[in-house]
Amino acid sequence: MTRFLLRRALWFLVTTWAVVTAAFFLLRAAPGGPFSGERKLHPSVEANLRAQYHLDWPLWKQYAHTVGPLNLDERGPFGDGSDWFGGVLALDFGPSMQHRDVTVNDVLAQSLPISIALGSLALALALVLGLGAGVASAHKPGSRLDGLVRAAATSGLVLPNFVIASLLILVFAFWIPVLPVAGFGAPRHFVLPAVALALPFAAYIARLSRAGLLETLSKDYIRTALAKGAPRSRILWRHALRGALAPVVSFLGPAAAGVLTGSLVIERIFAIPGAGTHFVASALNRDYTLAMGVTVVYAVLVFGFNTLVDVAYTLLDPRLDLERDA
Amino acid sequence: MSASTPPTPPSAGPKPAEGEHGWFRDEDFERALVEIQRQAPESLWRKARERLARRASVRWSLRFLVFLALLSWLAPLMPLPSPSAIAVASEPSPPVFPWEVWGDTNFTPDYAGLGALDRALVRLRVAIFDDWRTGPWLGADALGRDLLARVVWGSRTSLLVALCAALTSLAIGATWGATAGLVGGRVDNALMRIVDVLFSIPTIFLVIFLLSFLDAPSAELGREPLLSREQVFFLVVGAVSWLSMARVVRGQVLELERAAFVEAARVAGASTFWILRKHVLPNVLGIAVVNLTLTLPSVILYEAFLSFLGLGVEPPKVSWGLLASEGAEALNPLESYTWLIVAPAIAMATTLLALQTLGDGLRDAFGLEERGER
Repeated sequence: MTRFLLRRALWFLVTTWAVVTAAFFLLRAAPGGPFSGERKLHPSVEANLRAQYHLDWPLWKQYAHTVGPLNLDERGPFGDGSDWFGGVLALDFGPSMQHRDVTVNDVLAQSLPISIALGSLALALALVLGLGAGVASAHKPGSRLDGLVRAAATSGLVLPNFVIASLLILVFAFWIPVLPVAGFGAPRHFVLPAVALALPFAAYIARLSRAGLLETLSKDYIRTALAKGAPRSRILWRHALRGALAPVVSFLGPAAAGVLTGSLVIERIFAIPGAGTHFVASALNRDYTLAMGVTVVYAVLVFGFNTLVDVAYTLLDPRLDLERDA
Repeated sequence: MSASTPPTPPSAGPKPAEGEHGWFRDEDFERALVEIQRQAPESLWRKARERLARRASVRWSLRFLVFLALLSWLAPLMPLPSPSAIAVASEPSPPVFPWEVWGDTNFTPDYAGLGALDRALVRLRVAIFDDWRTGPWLGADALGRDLLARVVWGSRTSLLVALCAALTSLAIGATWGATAGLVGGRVDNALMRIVDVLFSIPTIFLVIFLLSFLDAPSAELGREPLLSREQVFFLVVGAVSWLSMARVVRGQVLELERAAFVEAARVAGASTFWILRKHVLPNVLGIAVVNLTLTLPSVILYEAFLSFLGLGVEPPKVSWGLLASEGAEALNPLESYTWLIVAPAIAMATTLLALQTLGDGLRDAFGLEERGER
């Protein structure tokens, strides 16, 4: 396990480096810049702005400054030395180029907790709903409930999440006004966004757990347990579910990435001030530093979650060897 | 006796009769051939087709998809209003039943942005229906554009883009995965590590970059872009959605290399090329087709997602994603223009349901398992 985690840490560094490098050069290669808005700036003003954000430096120096960990500007070791470290490696993303007088770290500190709360809520909801539906439907395959669950699970996969969100708003905010249309603050503001975000993943988890359960229920050890007289519900929950969870757990990695992506849309529909809003806006506005910050944070979240999933996988199935294919 | 007579076995038995080759008569030979041919249908593809045809849901899905493909291809021929014809109105108008307003005669052909074939179809449509057009059976949006026409024309973009993106992802993913699986060793390791790294990068970021990057010359320099938005879109989406295809194909190739029947072929002296063509390709193709069918819905959803973020097709063109996001934006508590979101949602849901059913059916038909990856 230690070796696995060490190797993962190594891959984590490689991945982060790849993300940073790709984001850096893609941003610089994309036409336009942070100050080429509709309002044309005076050339000297623009030159000053560019100098302030070090866009007048040669590309390699900008890159080294972005990656870190040494701060290359006048506050760094080559200037007055008040701020030695900076850049991604020092977890300092620098000042935002669009939001004046705010650092990227400030923006992230303010918006990221909201996104993470929404995302984990949605993921937990997807897991509970999906597993519940999957177990209920595998309990009596072919029953009316099973048919209902399968139909619901398929229909959860055929609509984009903003359409699901709109329909939910239509029903639960306009026709039966029990929940707020949008907004942020009270816990009940989180209900519709979390449900809209969770439904597609719940549907997929229900399918996966149903298929996994049905396969496990046909195994020999289940028959043994049945022959020994164990009650059916106990077999389902204690013996079969553990074996059937593997595909669900391995789906959680992609699901977490999907929830993050989906929250871009959901946050916009429900006017939630999360990090998703900055994601698209920063890339379109060529806010180099903020775009870099958001990308790195998302990549780190996805990577970390995938590692967690792999660890959970071995706990579930001790036969798997993490060392072999780390 | 001619020279072409088969050699007679060195037997001491009676002289073989006409049409007999010693110990082995022609009838036997023919019966054996018939037997072999009767068994030949036990191929992967034949079996899959039989299993597929047994399911009513799959048959209906296939029929629906064929109908939809025809409808979207022949959209210019339909007596629909022009999807981009603007009739200034103060607000979206609700659907009207066909028996209330059957149609109108104010169609003016709009050739903007149409290819040669579509122009010909529009001319044919004018020749057949003259200037008659259907009524606003699905309502109209705030600009007075007919929703039915927009949904039908939107299917063209959505389906075409989905198909192209899925094929792009198939081409990249299958090549990548097959190379990794066949070459093996260090190459395999390196290729799959790259896939792993790419998997943990939020692809949406890449998509936004590539879209704005490839799209920019038109905005900056005021000249025609090299590629249209749709072409950019399917290249980009294809380029980011090949990862799971690569994994699946590689896994299948590795499995096949260890399979008993490939071993047998190798022992029997088959060349590598023969094994690839006769054993590996058909088996990999099955799994690739399944993956392709299941990629299509996700690409259609992705198109909708990008449209919602304002990165989809550009306004004169129309797609289901664009319609759905316009509908979602038109939603407000005072006047709910429900039809604006319901119509594209139903179109999308039925199509995706059919694709999903077909994909599930194909997967079962090829005896594959559902995996926890998308």
